Amino acid sequence: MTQRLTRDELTAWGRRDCTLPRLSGDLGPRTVLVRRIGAATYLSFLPPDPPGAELWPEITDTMSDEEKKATQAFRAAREQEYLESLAPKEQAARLTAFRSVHLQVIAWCAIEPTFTVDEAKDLGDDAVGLSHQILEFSGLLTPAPAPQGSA
Amino acid sequence: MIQGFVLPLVVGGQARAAVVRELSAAEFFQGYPESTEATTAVRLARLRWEDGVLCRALTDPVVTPETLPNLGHEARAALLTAYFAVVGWESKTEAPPVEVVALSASPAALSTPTLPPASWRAAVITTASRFGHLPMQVWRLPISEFLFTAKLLVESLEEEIAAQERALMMAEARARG
Repeated sequence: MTQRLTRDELTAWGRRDCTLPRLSGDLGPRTVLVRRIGAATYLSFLPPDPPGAELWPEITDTMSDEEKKATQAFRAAREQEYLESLAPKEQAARLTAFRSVHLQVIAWCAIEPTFTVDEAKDLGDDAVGLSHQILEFSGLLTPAPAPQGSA
Repeated sequence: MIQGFVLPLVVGGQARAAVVRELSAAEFFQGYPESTEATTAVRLARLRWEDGVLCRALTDPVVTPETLPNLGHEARAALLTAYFAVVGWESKTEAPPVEVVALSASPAALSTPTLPPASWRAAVITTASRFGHLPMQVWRLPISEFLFTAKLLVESLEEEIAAQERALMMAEARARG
């Protein structure tokens, strides 16, 4: 008979230490203990879709990693086109909204140490990397391929 | 007592099992998004509804919207697909073999249910009138029984309509001589 999943196992499975490359380079190995984020929570942090985005192809669980990446690239290109069509002030506001998604992800997921959105700004360059690690750990972002020619 | 199922899942590469209870139709459809538009708002509403279904159904381990993401996106999707297949919501996926267990009803199942979403109201009222029940009794049916009955009813209504259309066409043909 298959063993029942316990709450302790679920909690342990949902947590991980993520490294902070820049801080680790300056201070020695530094990590943050994080929890996974659900797709609904992550989606609620994103700025509103550009007009007409409902017609763009969607990334689905049934897609292969390659299809997901191609769809992701298509959506990113359309988003870029939309961004470039905006007035400078609106463009800046939208970019700020996207940057703050990383800080919101960190504030939501960091367990030890905890961060507010404002405190997460102190992570500097590590903020985007940490947010990406959390999203990959949560299964919401396909890990970036290893650079060509690397060991 | 209500029906529960032991569903298989893989967590951290390890085979594990979780106990889910069969929700009533009212609990299942709580927060169900009506729209099918491919917008972020509708995707968000659908994800929240799916999370709600799992949080209401999982009894061992008990999860909340805060602890459910611990499963990871893949295990959550697999568990949801299995649950939808077992109760008959998702007919494209074959239901996994499950062990059935008896569970006590949750207090939520006994409280006054919320009204059905607009797209399911006709199914509730028609089922109730066809089988001589109050709509609330139908709405409190286990979701698998409700979906089975509603599908059967829709099929028989479609057959009735097709038979009426055939009879009308024959009558018109006879009238034309």
